[in-house]
Amino acid sequence: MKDSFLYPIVFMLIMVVLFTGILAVMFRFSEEKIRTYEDDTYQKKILSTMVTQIAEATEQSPDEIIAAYPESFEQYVQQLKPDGFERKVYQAVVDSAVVAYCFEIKGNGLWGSMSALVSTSTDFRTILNFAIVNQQETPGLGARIEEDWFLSQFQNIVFVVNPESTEDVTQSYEFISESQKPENDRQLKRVTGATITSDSVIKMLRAEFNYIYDYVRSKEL
Amino acid sequence: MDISAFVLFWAAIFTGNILLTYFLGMCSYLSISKEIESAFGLGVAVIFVLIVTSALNWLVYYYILVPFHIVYLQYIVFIIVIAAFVQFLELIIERYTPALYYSLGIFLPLITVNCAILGVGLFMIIRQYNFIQTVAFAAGSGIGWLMAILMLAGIRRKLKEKMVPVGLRGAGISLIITGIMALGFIGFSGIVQIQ
Amino acid sequence: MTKKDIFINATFKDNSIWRQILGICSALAVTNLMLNSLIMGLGVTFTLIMANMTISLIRNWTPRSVRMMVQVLIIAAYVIIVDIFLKANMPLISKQLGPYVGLIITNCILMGRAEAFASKNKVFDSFVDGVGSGLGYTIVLLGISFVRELFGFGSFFGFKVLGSWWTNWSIMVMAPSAFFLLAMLIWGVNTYYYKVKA
Repeated sequence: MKDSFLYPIVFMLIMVVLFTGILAVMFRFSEEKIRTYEDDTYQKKILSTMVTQIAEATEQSPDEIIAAYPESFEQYVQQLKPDGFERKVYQAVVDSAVVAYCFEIKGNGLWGSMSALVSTSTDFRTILNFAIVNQQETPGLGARIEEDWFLSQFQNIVFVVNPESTEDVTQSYEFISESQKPENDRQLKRVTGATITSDSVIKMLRAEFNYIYDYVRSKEL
Repeated sequence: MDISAFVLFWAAIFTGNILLTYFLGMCSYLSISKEIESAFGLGVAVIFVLIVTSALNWLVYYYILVPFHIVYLQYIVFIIVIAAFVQFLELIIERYTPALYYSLGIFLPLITVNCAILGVGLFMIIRQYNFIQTVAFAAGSGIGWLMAILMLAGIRRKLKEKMVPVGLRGAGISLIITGIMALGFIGFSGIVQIQ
Repeated sequence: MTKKDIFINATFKDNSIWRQILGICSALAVTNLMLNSLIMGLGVTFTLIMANMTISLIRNWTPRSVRMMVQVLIIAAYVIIVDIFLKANMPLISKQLGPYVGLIITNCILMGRAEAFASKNKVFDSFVDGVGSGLGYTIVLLGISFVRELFGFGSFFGFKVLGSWWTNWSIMVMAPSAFFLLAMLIWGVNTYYYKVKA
């Protein structure tokens, strides 16, 4: 029986149906939970990139605002959908005044694509905060761009320095090794052994900021 | 992605060599590099499997998985396509070139789990290559893999095994040689943007 | 063979990495940190056990012509089951394991054991072999990552043990160092454990 022509095909079909069936069931059951968790993590990240500005405007501490999720998110963060703007953008509003914007930006790393959230001042020139949403770099190597020391380099830096330029509105930076100390604000530390990944981060920021600035020059968000 | 298939082809061989830069496809590479003939045979088989399965998987992904929202089955589907094709190839090799079949031994079925093959399949999705780019990338990766295994086989043939300490013969010295080659290939990184 | 023999064989005598030269790709990629090695080791061991047992269970009904596809299907299915389960119930661990899912499915050890042992042996024996192979694999990984993390980051499982006087060795952070360390390991094992002579 095992040597007949039909048997292997039938056997294979049964196995495939059985296992993909198990997987499909597991997936459907967990889909909800996974989606909710992912949404929560994403929204908390958006909130945290603008939390300092919200805190100042409302005279609470940043920790209090984060702890008050999801109410604080509902209260202060709104998503905008400007015409022809192909990125997700959120604004933090306190007492009808916008205190910060947050953009989701995308780029390419070494192993795959990456996406991040970057919050900016209301004139879109200063990067307030920066958080990675997704990346596929090597754990322990490129993935270290998610570490605090790397991300905090991008806090409160004036990124747009040539607002009139049509080529590149952004500041140029020099990468130094992780163990050195930056001598001025044009130097950024890269992750040791992950030059390409570190470069990809700055490339992404540059390209995306040019896109954003190009849009806001002529249109309202 | 606006990279020409031609550039991708060459980049996959040198600057983004699937074995020496991304370290995929090591197991069979280390074990079969003893003889240049078997290494060549395995390398050609890998190229063949890479091109055919990457093309097939691209079609399956974009025409079946995506439209039916079953992208989470991606790993399973890809690897089954690869396994089916390798099984088919095994039957052909056993029938027409039995010498190669015996010298490859377990490493023929192991082509299925050669991380290089699944790796190329996943890269093409992640980097969103179109069909032509995928074929060029797969062909280049295969040739790059063949080149790497031939390099190692060539070095091992010239290596006077008697000069190598007993404990290092075979796998040990191959690893060291590969490590040095990998260090060399790091020099290529960043020359061409392939994503 | 007794269960003890099977276990010792799988873990030491026929160790997947230093004897059979399987599972190398992951040994290079995840050994930069001990934590990554541990997670990968656990993932591989669990999948080995489940896949071995399942393949052994159906071995008498599996036709020869489709056996590779069946093995690969079962291995991939278990890895994804683990991935989905972790994503839903232990999301933080899943984030660590995330990039490794693909690496486990193509880990040659799983296919190697399935083909060489599970498809020809009884279920409980395959279970023991799975445990042993996984353990042997994890030991090697932890050994290499111990050196790489210590010299490359000055830490042990994430805890800094070397003070700031230590300059990190960048080479330990990059993959080629794993090649050299693994070669040293094999040299040591061949000389002192297998006692190979010229």
